[in-house]
Amino acid sequence: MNRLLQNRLLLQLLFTSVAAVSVTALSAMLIAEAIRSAESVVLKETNQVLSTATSELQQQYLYRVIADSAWGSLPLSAKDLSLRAITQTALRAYPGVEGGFYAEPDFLGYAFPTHDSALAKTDVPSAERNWIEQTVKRSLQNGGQAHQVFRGRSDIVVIEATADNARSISAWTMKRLAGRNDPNIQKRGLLLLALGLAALLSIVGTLATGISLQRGVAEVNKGLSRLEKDFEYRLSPRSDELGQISQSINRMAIARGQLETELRREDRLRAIGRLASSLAHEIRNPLNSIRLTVQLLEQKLKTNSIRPQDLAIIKGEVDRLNTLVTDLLDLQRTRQPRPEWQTVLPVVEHCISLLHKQAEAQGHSLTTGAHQPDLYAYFDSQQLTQALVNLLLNAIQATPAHGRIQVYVDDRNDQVEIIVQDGGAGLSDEQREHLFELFYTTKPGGTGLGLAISRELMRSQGGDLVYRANETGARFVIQLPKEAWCQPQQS
Amino acid sequence: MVVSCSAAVLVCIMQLLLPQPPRPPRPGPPDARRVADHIADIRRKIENIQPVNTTARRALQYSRSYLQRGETFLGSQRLFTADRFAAAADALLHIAEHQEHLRSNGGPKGTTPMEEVRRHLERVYFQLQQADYFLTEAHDKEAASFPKWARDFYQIAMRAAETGDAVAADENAKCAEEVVRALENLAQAATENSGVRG
Repeated sequence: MNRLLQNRLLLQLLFTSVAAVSVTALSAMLIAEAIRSAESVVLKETNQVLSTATSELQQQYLYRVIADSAWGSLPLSAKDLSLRAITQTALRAYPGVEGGFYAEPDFLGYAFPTHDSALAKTDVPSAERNWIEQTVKRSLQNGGQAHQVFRGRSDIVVIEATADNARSISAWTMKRLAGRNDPNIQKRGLLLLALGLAALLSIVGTLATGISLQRGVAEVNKGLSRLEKDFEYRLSPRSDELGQISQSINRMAIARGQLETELRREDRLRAIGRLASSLAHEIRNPLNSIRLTVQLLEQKLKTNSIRPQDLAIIKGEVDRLNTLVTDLLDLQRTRQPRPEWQTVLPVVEHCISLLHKQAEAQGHSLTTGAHQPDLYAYFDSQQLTQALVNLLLNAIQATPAHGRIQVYVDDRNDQVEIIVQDGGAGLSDEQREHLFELFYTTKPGGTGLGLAISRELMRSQGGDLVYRANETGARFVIQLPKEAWCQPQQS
Repeated sequence: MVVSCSAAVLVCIMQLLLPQPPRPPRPGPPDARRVADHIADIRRKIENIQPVNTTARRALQYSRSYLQRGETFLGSQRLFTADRFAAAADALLHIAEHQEHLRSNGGPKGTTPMEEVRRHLERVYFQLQQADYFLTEAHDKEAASFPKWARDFYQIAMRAAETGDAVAADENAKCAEEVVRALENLAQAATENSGVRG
């Protein structure tokens, strides 16, 4: 039972089956009830038939009596015979109708000409004899018609009687309506009620389990959506069959988290390897340059012909090494972001104000805009400033003199975008491929760390930095989330 | 008060002095005398009537036969049976009379209106349907041809009604009715020893 209650799909199937059976039985019973309700119509028709038949009997009796002056002196047996002939002839036209005459205290001329039997029925039926007697006596008392309906065990019996004017004899007819009376009507009513309740309960049960299932599925769906963004989120435990699915999803999430951690660790190791290799290459170049210059200075020291330019070369290479180390330290020092729900446009305007003069010095126009000024997103304003300034500096450098740099903020479903569009030549396919790799640069004197750092800053708070192909110039897009985002813990 | 009493006494005296019409026979179980008178009356009629055709001759033949059987039953004091046989003989005798009316183009009451003849035919049709039953109950081989005989009369009557011959229709309808009545009387005669069913 407990298992059945927890398995709502099975429960729903059970409810639906019960509902289907109940509704079918209910329909059948209602049809039967409708047929039974036609009883009054049948009774009315029967009354009309019996009334006509009785009148005919009475009329034929009168003809017979008028035509025979000796009728009154005939013994009962002779009257019985003559009246039976009348009844048999008259009732032949009325299927299922039997009848005769009654002259107290005797029944006379009984016949049932349409009786389904090889032998003619000649005796007044004993089962209904009292009812017939009751009806004919009533007709004799009131000197006219009497009509009565009796309910037997399973039949309804309709009796009609008409007395003559002298109230000496009454013609009567009777018809049985077989199977019309239902003695189990009360039981049938209870069964009908029980079936109705069962059908109602089943329908309610089906609806309830359906709604519950739908809610459960919606809850699991919502959990899955959240799990896409938050690997630490776990679906709440349930006792039903959806609970098993939730448990499976949670197990998958745990496995996925472990896999991600593993991959990240491997990525980091690979990145460290690449970094070490690039770093070695970057350090070796200035060191070689310094070494060559120092060797040259040794030779020039002998001839005392040292030039200030030679020292400047050494100084320049040392500065380059220093910049490299600073950028590396920046990369290392990246702190945990503290995203807050805040408006985006003020931060963008602040960055533009920082670089406005620098852009003007090169004759650039630096413009900003937003479709909606009050767009909100979750972000760390300090880290966004750092990334955006980096992008703007790149744009200023990449744009030829008197070029145009545009920054605008746009709303994109579940995120806000800050788009930086420069007036440069844009990027080749190869450049786009390596754009965010460490130490990849196309600028003379560049370290190739700026874009990588900026993207890392954005990703660490649930956003991203992407390059979007454009017909003119380069277009970088910072994507900021509209929902709070928890950075996965790194192991 | 005195005037009204005197008037009543006067009426009573007048009743006693004036000649009275013959009383109809009182209903009741047949007594030997009455049955004997009835048989004698029919016998006299049979002897007096001249059959106008073969149908009348056939009817009189049957009538004589049943009257004789009635006399026999009267002799053995089976009065009811004798009375019913006499009634059957009387009904058959009437057929001969109706045949006579046919020849003279109408009975003593004159021509019956066609509308009434049609209603009569309807009643006769109803009676015709009882003929077989009466024959069965009569247990009389001599009457075996009676149901067909009655139907033949009815057919003739119907055809006459269709052609507008009210006399022929009426008299043949009456003949059919008399045959069925004869059968009914024979069937009643057979009930003497049986009780009432029901």
